[in-house]
Amino acid sequence: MLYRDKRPLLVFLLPSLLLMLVMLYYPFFENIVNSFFEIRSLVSPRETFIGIENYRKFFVGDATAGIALKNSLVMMVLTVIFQVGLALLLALLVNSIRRGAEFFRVVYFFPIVISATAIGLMFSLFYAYDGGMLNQIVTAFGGEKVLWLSDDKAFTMVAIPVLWQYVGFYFVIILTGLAGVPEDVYESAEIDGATGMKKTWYITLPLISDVLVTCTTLAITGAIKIFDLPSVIAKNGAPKGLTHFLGTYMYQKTFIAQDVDYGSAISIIIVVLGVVLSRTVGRLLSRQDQGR
Amino acid sequence: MKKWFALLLAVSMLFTLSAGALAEGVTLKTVSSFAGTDASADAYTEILKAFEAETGNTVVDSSSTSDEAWKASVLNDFAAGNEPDVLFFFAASADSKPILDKVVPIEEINAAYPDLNLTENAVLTEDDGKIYAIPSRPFWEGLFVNTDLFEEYGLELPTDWAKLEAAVAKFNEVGIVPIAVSLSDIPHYIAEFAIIACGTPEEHMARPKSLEEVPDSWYEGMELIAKLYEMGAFAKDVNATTEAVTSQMFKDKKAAMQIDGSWFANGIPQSSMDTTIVIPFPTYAEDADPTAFIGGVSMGFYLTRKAWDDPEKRDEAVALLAYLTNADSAAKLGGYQFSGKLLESSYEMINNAKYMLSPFQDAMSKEARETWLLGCIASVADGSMSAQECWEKVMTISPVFGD
Repeated sequence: MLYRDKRPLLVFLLPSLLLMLVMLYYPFFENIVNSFFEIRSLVSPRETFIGIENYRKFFVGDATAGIALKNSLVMMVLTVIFQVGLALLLALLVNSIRRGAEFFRVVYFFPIVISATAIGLMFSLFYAYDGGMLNQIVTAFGGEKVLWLSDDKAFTMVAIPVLWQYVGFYFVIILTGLAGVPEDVYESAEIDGATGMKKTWYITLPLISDVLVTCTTLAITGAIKIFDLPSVIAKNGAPKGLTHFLGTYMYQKTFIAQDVDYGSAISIIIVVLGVVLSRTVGRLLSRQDQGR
Repeated sequence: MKKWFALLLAVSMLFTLSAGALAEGVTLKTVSSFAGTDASADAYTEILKAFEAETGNTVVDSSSTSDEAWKASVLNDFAAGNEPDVLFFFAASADSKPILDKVVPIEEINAAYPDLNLTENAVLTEDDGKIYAIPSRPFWEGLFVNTDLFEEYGLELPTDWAKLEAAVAKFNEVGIVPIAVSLSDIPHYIAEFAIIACGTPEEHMARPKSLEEVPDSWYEGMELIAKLYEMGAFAKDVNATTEAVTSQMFKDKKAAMQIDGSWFANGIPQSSMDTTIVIPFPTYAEDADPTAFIGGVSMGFYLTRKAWDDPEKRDEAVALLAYLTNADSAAKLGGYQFSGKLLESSYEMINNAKYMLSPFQDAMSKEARETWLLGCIASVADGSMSAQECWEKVMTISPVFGD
């Protein structure tokens, strides 16, 4: 045992615990309380107790909140499919090549190091109706200009860069997981006559299942709090609040409408949804893994 | 080598500490909207630098372009006890109400510093009868028109509704955006002017407390925006673009008209000063006043209670307030940076007006304003929400106006 007496460890753990209590748990608790009171502005105190009115309003009395919730849930599914799924596919491909793996690792990871604001700005320039890159290409081929952020296309157009940006993040995590799979397992499988696909399905995937569960949990919690890219590409949930996500809607309600109590309720819903969904998916995947 | 390096570090640390201790004056924090594309941003920075040079104080300025996020961040700083010492902010409106107990009435400053004789302008009187801000930069809002585009296509200036409709039709035909606006970002001006165009100034000045009290012209104004949308008066992406983009379109002559304020005039390129004018927005209803425009003073300089109660800062903070609001500074900050026909037309609009109206959205609660402007206008424009539904949605909020 390196540390027989564990008490000194507390000295090192305590500061971070205190910091978490003050900076995270205390505000979170205050937020819960705020969501049950009327608060008229960012500088106003709590006024009347309104009970669960904000939660009722969110689920039955606010159409835009419904859109934000739906968009967040759809985005959650999309992130699992396209971010984790695509990252897994790319990682498997890159892991199987002998030369150039380093190059692809850098290429796929690169979007992560660019700030979301810069990517958002870049995509809004792509989508611009007047002089945007996509419309320049379309008109150069003799087509009509397209309204990329129209009512029916806007969500997809906002989802694309969000999904694209984080593929590299999960790609690197999965690739690291793949590096940990012992080579001799594959060699044994080859002797037993396992082909490429069979090796992936029966050896690789089960051996990196814990990494995949982690990635899926991160993707779900990440999707539920998406904020930066949509708020740059489609300001105020444009058009007509159709591209609002829970994070962007919470910001608009708290800081622009200064409906602080309602904003607090939305933030609690984000946390509860994130915790419940990630734990549920985590358990489901773990159970499936045990069943193999 | 290490010893020398350590000695160097120690000496530089001592030097920094002693320099700090010997530095004259105090550090004052300021916040304003004189930043970004604001034409007075440089003038404001120069005034602060001159103050620093004259007094030996240091001014840490955190100015930013005025928008809803900036307002929120200022209010947030007040809520967190991190307010600046002197600030330029909205006054006599719903925006200023939350900070009034944290700023000092001008009367109180004048009583303690009678020599300063700071301006107490009744225009900025708050509901409690006190004046907390010293006004700077009067403003007006109207319809900006690129006259060269009207000339090029043989159109009459949009001084009445028929001429506006004719211009919209022609500009649509030739691929120029008739009216530059973003309904998803800043629909504030068109929303206000559409209501002025549809009713009497008295109706615009109404402050309804219930749905039944909402004047008919407020519904008609919303329907007018839908009518303009249907006519093709706006860009195709009007519900998904930003104000920065639409303003640039107007400046680049890709759009013929834009409803905006005097701050926008300050940003018009010098080369367009004689080809851009401002006129009142044409009226739609017969009982509307064709000369009415929006204007007044909506912002001013404040001194915070925090600075006032700090004996080390108080004199210097008051001196900074006086410096920022003296005649020279007022001319630099409030003065118009535009000239030519644009300046002439602005005087004409002001001088010919029977009514100068205050924007009623400034008196709305933040929640009501956000619901109306960001939650309704774009939907009403494209017909996915009716004017009735819009005002029903807004009027369910309590309060819409006042406390």
